[in-house]
Amino acid sequence: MNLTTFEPDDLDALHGLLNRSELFGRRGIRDDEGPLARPAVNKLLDEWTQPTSGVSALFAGNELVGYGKVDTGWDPLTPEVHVVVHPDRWGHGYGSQLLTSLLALVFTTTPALSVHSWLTDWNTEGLAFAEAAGFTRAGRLRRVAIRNSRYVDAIPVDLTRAEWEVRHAS
Amino acid sequence: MPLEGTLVRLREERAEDIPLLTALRNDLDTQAWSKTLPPDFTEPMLRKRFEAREFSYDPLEGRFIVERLDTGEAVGYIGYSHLERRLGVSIGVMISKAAWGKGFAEEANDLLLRFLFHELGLRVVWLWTHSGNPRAIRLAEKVGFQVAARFRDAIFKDGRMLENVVMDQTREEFYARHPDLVDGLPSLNPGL
Repeated sequence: MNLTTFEPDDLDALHGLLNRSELFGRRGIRDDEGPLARPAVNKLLDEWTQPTSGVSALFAGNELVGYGKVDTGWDPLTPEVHVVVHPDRWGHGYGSQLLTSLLALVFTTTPALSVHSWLTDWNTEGLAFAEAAGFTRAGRLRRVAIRNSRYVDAIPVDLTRAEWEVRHAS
Repeated sequence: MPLEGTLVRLREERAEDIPLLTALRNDLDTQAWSKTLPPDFTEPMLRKRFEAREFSYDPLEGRFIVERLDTGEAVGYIGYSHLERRLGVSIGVMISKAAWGKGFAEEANDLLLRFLFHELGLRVVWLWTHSGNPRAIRLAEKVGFQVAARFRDAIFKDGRMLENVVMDQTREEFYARHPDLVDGLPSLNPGL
């Protein structure tokens, strides 16, 4: 596993990854539902290759298998984190390795006292993944979107520095 | 439909409101987020934002001045932002401390909610506050919101770590509180 920055020539790989339908609604980007045209992905890549983007690419060999985001835009005390893994690579520990790396980065190199993330209520795999990593459900925001003829609720999750330190020490 | 109750009306921002908006912005009690510090906003800064606002048929935010009906005095601000058209929006309110405790904020919230549900046809409204502001939480509950989420160790204010508190109110909850109003917008999902 190699956690690194995105490069401009990752466009094809990122375009392919983001257009996997299994990831729609899980990508941690604005307008998260539906496919993305190459110019839209290129625009994202432009953002994600900036030094302050907080986005890391995860490679296995030469294959892009996922990415992670740390967003301190709201408040560096409580960054938002997001992890995305290629559907073909689910269940092989890539997400856990990626999240472990991001949390270590956040809690050992920034003043963050907690991290949080947002998942949709239908994303049971994502919720299970977050809880297995030590995150706690912070509540439920109703009706953040509509999908399959029903309202989607958002499930925010958080993890405090103290909780991370306990897990990290064990 | 004027946005008018028995105590206050919600009207558009005007250039003469800029001193009030600057004072609200620079008051640590009416400005909730440390992200907006330091409290040294100037009137030219807010005038620039005021003058940069362009006419649009598709506005994703609304900003209103809360004006007392009896004296015509501007006592605060209320507005919404990040509108998801026909779905949801977040709201925020700031009232001058001298005008606290007189029911202005409650009525301003109610007027805005009526506009958002009854005119914009939204399905849900959210608001953000923090655990160090029980007054705001009580007010929100009074006008129909409930706590949706609490993020721990998420806000630093007044020397304390606080929870970031998100509250929400659905369309059905709003109309249940207002039996005088008829909801003519069909439900999207009667089973829920």
